[in-house]
Amino acid sequence: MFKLTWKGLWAHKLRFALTGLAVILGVAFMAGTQILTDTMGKTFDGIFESANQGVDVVVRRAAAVKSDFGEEVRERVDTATLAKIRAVPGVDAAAGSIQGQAALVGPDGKADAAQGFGGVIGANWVEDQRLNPFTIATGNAPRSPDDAVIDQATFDRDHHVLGDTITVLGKGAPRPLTVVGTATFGDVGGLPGVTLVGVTDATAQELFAEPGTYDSVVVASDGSVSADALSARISTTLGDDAKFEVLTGAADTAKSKADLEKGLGFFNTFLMAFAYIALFVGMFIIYNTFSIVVAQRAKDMAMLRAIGASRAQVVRSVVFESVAVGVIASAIGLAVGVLMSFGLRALLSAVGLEVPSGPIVITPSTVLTAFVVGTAITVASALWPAVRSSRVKPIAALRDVAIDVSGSSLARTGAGLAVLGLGVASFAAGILGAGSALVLIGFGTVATIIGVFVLGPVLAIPLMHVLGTPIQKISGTTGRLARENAKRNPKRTSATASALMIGVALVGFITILASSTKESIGSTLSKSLRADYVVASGSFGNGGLSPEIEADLSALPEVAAVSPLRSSPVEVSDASSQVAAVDTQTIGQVADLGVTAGRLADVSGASVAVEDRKAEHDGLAVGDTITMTFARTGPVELTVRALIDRPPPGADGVVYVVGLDTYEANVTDQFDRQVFVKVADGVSPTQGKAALDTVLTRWPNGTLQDQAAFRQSITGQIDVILNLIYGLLGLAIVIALIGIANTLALSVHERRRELGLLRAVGMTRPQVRSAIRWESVMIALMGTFLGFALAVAGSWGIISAIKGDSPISLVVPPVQLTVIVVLASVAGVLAAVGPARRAAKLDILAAIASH
Amino acid sequence: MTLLSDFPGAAPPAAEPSVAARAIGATKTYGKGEGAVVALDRVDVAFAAGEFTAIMGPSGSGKSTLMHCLAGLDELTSGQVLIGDVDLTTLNDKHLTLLRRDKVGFIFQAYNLVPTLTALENITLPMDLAGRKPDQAWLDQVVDTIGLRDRLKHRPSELSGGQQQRVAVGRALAGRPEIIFADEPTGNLDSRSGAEILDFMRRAVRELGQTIVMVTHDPGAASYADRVVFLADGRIVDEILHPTAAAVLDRMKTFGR
Repeated sequence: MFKLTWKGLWAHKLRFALTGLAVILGVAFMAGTQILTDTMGKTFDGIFESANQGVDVVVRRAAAVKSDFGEEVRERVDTATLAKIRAVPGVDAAAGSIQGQAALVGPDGKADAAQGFGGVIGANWVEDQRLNPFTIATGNAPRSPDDAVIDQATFDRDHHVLGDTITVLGKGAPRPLTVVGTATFGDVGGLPGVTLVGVTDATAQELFAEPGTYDSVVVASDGSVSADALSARISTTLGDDAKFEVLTGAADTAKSKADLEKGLGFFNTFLMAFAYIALFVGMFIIYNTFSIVVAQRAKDMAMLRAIGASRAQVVRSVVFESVAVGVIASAIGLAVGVLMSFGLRALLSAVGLEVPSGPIVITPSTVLTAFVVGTAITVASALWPAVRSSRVKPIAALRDVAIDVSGSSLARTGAGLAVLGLGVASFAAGILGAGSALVLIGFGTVATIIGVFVLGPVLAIPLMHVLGTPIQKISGTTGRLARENAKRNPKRTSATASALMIGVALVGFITILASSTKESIGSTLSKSLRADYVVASGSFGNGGLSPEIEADLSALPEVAAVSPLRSSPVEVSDASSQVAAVDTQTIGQVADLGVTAGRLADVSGASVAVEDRKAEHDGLAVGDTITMTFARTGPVELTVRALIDRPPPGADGVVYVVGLDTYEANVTDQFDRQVFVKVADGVSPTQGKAALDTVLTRWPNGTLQDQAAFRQSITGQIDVILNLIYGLLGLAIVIALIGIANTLALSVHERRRELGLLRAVGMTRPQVRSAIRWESVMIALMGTFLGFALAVAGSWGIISAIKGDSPISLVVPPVQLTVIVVLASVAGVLAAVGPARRAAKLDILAAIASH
Repeated sequence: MTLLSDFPGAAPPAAEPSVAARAIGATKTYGKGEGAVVALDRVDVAFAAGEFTAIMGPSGSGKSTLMHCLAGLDELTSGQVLIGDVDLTTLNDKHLTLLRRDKVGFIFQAYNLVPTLTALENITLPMDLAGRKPDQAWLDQVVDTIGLRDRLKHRPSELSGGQQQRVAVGRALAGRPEIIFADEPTGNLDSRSGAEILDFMRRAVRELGQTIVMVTHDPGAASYADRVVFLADGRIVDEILHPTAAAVLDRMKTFGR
């Protein structure tokens, strides 16, 4: 039977190549994701190791607060602590280390906010080479307060020469510095995607920390004690365990690696989800191809059975085929995965997530996973067609085998509805919060898709009838033939459409969710935003605008009111949260937070405003007290003085608002994320903008936005994510289109006599092509409409479930959805190009002469 | 079943038959050089309008190739084929297709019908492809002639082999082509259904003035024709007018097979 298997594969190279392609792309995505994350992990691990190479002990302040993203928020270590550490016996050298967010002002006078993993790191230059992973390559270390060292890679990239002036933004006003040297990291020119600006301790404290403080203290031992012992000694000397975190260099490296692994784990899971979607879609293609191929070979199978092959042997021969396809496709997929890892990186970089690169890392686990998953999926998808093939009776060899079997049995309808019901119920249970939401929703989604897949053949005939009627109107007989062809094998049509359905459902789902979110953010903004202009920093977490800009803006005669927006991670009732600070005296003029109780102007000192839904949930009323934990000051009692309906513009999701005085008293680093500006009455927009622009020339990281631009910048963030997900789902769609092409190619092959007849009685080649194209479009549209139905139902479910927590309503965007329908039709036409050409080129005589 | 002669509109047999199709020096070779196989060897033959001609010959005699070339399904290596005044060798694929659609009718041995279309849709298929409205009166006549009025909405799979072939005859007649080519039209039928089909074809010629060229190897089928042309080794070797099955069989025997 082996020989037969190989001959079977060889005889149908093209169709198996197309089937294999579905596996190849899915496996490539999976392997590419793993290669990318492994490569990133390895690159970072190497960086961490180099960074801590000569460091025996690292001392930091303990993390007081964890942000929503699990990021630890710490205070800084002061010079007194550094002195204490230096005095510990066994310490040979100890240095304060500062690594803060900075920005470089470009030649256009603007400073872009750092994004992704890279950015500009503002650091102090540590003289002791054991404690500084950077070494001077050219020039010298910074000596005077205006000196700076930058990494060699950036130096080369920006074509600097020693003595150039660069403008660096940290705290306060932009600072011109002179490039006095370049530095390399280990044996490379710089860290991937990172620009280093190294300055003297004093300048670093001024720009990136606070006077008299460091982010951490790094220690080199004199060799008389082990790192562990030294770390214990330092810990004892410092006392107050809760205040400091003392780690050996090795432990610190391990911690960094573990944190990174966790971060990369999320990233990996996110990308893997899309790889599995692609593979899931691929399964439909494999299932379909094997079903068709087996059906077309039913006569051969019957012949084999007639001459004495057992059922098991027939099953095995098909399974062998699938194993061969799976193994070969997995191998190719793995190779393509290497390219895919570059593609994924390019995609991430296109949406603004720069990912550092190092030498490609391919682990044995990547290889193993690729082969196991690729082969298992192929075999699993081919199993049912294989079993079905063995059911063909030997006698069938002697007569014409009816290939088509009706797809609309009662049993199928019942089973389909049962699975669909189970899926919907599980989905509903998930969003209503019964049990583990992720598992229930995931299971519900898969079961719903399978339910629709099982019901597909039942739906196909009426759907094709409806879809085909206008097509028949447009293109007459070719349309009619296309419609009848799409209806003639409902199982095949619906399996092909189902593959596309999954991709469209997901695209539709996120499109609807994104539109609904944008709509709700937009409507909240239009209620809340009263400012004429917003000066945006482009920063969401670290850094931002210097609060000094507020005074500059207020000083303008054209300006009536100014309020900044600052925010910081805090903890309330042991849960991570975010607190926003505004000028509670002026905020009413620049934003309407919809005060429902109390007065915002009273929010000052030990008081807070709380979003009313949150207050209701927690049973809070004006006059009640909450405890908020700040990184700097620890737990602070705040009295609720106002309830608000919505957060300040641009601070979506923030439920606590305090006054600037409270914020300044409890938060170390003061940065404005945004500054809202209301111009005075009688000032024209042109005058207002001109006046504000004069201030902004002094603050290169500020961007002046009018209301529309501000709104766009907020909703634009959703578009970025949306585009990323579109890109990642693209592959699933491509695989589905390959499936359509594959099915059509097989159908054309199967119908060659009929096509020959049509050509003989006068169907022109363009008419043949048109009929195949229309059939393809109908399959694509069926997949699209089923996908839409799932998308609308799913997003409606999710939105209804979260409606209690946030004011969001379902928005089905007509334009985007129309675009998707049009694209699906175009895709259908594209998928049909190959099969249509083959059908049109068919040799009439060969087709009709094969009696 | 209505008799064709009942129709007042039926055209009388042509008094002076003109030529519906002809081959002049038709040569078809497969391959090149030493190994070349000559399927048709300078064949000259004409088919009069309003005549029912059978082409006979042993397997490999070139009879199917001749028919395919006459019908514009295959191309000659040299020589000419004319349908009416049109020289097929000057036409490209598109015009050949349009010629087949508008001027030629086909009846094949099997796979005559598109399985997804109803009987009526199969009958009107060439006209539908052309985007032409069928002549309703004529269509009614054809439908009544083949006697399938109550089966028009049925799909081919719901019809017997004989009924399917009657639909094929209906399709060939419906467009009033200049000539109908039939390739072993009874090859897959039992003798009763086969006789029925041949009877339709003969009456289409006698009573409606249709021109039919039929390839067959069955002397019984050939006996329905007005004239039998014999082909052997790619050449016309003989012809019989007003044949009988016995005469054809006798003639066949002399070919030495």
